[in-house]
Amino acid sequence: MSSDESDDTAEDPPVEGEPTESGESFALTYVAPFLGVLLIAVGIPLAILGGYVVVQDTLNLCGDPSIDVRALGDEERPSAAVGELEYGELSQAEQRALEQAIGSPLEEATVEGEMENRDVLLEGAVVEVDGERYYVRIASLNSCLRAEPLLFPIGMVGILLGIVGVLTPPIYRKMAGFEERIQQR
Amino acid sequence: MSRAVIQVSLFVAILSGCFLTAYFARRRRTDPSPDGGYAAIGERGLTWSEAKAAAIRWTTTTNHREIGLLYIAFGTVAAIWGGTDAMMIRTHLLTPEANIWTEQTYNELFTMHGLTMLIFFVAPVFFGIGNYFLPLLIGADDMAFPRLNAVGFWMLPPALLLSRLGILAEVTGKSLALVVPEGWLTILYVLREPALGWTLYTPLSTTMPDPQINFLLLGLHLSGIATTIAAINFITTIVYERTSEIGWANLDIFSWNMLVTSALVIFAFPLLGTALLMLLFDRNFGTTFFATEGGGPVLWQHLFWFWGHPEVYIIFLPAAGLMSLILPKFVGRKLFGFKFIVYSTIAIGVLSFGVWAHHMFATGIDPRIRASFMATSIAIAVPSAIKVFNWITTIWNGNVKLAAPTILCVGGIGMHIYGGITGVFLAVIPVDIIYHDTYYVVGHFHLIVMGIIPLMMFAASYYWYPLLTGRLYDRRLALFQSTLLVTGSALTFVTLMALGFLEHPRRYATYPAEFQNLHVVATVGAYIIGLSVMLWLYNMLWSYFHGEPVETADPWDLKSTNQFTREWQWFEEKLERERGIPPSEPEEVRRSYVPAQEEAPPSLYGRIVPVARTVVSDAGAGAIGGFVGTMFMTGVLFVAVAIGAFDLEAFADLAALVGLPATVGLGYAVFLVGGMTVWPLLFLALGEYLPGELSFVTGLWYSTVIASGFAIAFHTDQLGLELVAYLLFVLLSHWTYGLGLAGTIEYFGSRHPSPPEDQP
Ligand code: HEM
Ligand SMILES: [Cu+2]
Repeated sequence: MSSDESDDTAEDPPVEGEPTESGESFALTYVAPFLGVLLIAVGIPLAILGGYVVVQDTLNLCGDPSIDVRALGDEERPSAAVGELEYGELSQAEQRALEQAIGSPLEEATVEGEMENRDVLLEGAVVEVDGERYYVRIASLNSCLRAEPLLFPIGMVGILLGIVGVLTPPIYRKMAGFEERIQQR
Repeated sequence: MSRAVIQVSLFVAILSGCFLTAYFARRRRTDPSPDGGYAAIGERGLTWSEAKAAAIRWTTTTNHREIGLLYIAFGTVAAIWGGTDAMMIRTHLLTPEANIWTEQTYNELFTMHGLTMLIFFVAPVFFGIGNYFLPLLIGADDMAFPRLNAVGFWMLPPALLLSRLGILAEVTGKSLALVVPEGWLTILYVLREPALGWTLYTPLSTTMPDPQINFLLLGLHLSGIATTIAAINFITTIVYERTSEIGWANLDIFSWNMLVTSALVIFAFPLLGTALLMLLFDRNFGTTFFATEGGGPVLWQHLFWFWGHPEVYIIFLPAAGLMSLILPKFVGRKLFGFKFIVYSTIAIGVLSFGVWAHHMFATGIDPRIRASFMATSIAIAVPSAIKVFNWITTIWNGNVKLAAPTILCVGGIGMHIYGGITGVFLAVIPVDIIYHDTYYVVGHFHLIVMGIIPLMMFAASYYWYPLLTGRLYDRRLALFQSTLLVTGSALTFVTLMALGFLEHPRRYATYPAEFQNLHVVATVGAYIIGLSVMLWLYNMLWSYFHGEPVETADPWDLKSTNQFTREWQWFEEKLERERGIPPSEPEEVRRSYVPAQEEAPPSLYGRIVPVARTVVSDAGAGAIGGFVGTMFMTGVLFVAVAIGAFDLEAFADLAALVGLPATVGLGYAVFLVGGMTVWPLLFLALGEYLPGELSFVTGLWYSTVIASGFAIAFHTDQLGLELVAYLLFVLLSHWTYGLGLAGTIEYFGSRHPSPPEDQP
């Protein structure tokens, strides 16, 4: 792949003011930005993980599971393995969430507080509220991300270095042009 | 973290990035530049009245080129939207637990990613390219129905907004919550992006409470109407608006692909619309089309995939057309086997309606029905393979130029081969049963939907950039960008393929920790794709203002290989007319329909006849040759049966395979039909690649190759010496077949087709 034997290539004819030999120019025009993009692409996930851990912990974004409910018909049973729970067995927070979920059009709510029946609800259970039977399940545990916050700076440095890499060709062309003008003077 | 807010910010950031680039590029251009600069005429800031005039012009235009650009712009916006979905999916999958976003969010992401990409990105961009270039390629003044064309386009933006109302509502709610009490906003929070999977399978889609699903169905329905309108317009334009010099035989390959695509649209999309309405009624008005006690959930799958599989080809065929159009220009050779590419395109079009149940192998439908769908699904690979062979042969011995479109074409062929072959495996029932809901499927179809479709769009954008803007793009950046894109796509989706081989199920927000490394690799690959797309956007916008102005209407040196096609001729005239003068649009009023002239064949029938005649003569020679060959073969097999080397039961199995009662007679009939259609056609198409100057030699080679398949398929339980005899007779019988086939075809003089001139 060489853009110099340009008779039969559709690509650039050798650009005027391209001062260095082709090997160097190839490395700086294609290889450096490629490594740059690679650095950015690796840097983004690192930065996201490291940065998000901090945000999550300071803003308390995780830890409260959400439940979803579905009203059941008479005799309907989601599956043979699903157990029953008495309304009274639910903790305060669970009861609150359950009622909220029944009232919500999306049939979902977050459990804010003590979650006593976590294991049962993870599998799903039938609960009777005011004579209606509901199938109640945990929809999401909202589990917390655990990662080293240090990843954030590492990732950011990677991204910045990468950007420099991507910008090598124009920078290099500018500098080369500058040098040439100096020499011509 | 609220995914909606992040996504909308990302989206807005990218769009503002684009505007900023354009703004600075424009500003820079007005500055006097040291090298003497490029004269900027009338480059002031935009005044209010100018802006208003521009807005009116762009929203009311019926010019096919302007509508084409609108389509492309719309498709690009949708691609960015669906692309941020993709990036967020991959970000979510960085960790095994669902801890960056929730499971619900993940389900929303992959659902709307799929729908946005398939419905709002691919078809609009291809229709845009078609709108701009197809009339130029066939020498038409405009599309047949210019106003309808505009109507079709303007249905799309509301369709997209309806479909993605959920995320808009959420962001609006979140921002309003800063100023008004939350209580007022419940209605906004109720609309939530559907979390169903893009296939909208019942009963989940009928029972899920989310009201946004209704809007989604309406939005999809609207987009379906828009697509159908556009397809009608393309067909009419191609049939009635060609100049008199262009007949069916020298209609260019891209227009052929758009024609077949549009035909598929017309048969597929109305069905989707109906099914969507049925689903809407089931959800809201108590009908029971898809209820378990009613029509049943599997009915939905039949209806959906009867649209869904042709849809796959609706988005693939235009890409294949672009490949067939662009590749020859950069390798300096005519497209190899033009006629057979057209035939294979038509064959794909027809066959694509007969394979839908391969998406339903795991539903437990009748095994006999399944088996016949397996057979058709494998058969549809044949025409696709013909295309690939023709592309490769086009490159062969060509004068390959290093340019961004070349890299994209070659990369596209490569990934298409991987995507296609993995698809053939998936068409095999036992393989599908294991892999159907794993990342194997995701890897397989992305190698097509990412590996060739967008690649061809990028290739087209580079190829026609000089024509579109009168300037050249930054070619070094383009080379770099296309390499990056190919690398990123291969990295991402081959990795997903690997995850699939490990039987990692798809559509799950969480996964076992041992898969994390592979997921991270796929995510890095996806970011590489994302970054390369940003570089492309930058290149397109910046070069629009700063690219080298074209000096000639032939930047790709097409004249030297006699490939200076009509759209470039049009461009040449335009350059001549407008050199140095600001572009001006003539204020003339077009007729939308030009009645047939005296010298043009008077009717559609009259125009189709010549094509039909060639097709029939080719197919006829093939069929007769096949018949003769099969008769010879039957004779040899008869002997084989007599001495016990061949078991007639094998024919019964063949009948059963295609879903007929398992009798020897029916099996033989299938055998005869196959011998007269599929195999001669393949011979006609592939004969070129097989060794042999003489047709007879080629016939022998060909039959030797297909004998191996026969030997496996028709093997009953011969062992030892019997097996030797069996193989011997298989070979012998095929040789007689090959000789009979080749001899007959040679007699009718149909082999060695000469590709029609691209040039008028
Ligand atoms: C940047 C490139 C892309 C990436 C990284 C990407 C990523 C993904 C991933 C990881 C999934 C699987 C989600 C899951 O099963 O859990 C997916 C699904 C899907 N993608 Fe893409 N994608 C990309 C581009 C495209 C394009 C260009 C199209 C179509 C033209 C497309 C269409 C689809 C469809 C239809 C699904 C299936 C959704 C479903 O299962 O309901 N993707 N994508
Ligand atoms: Cu299919």
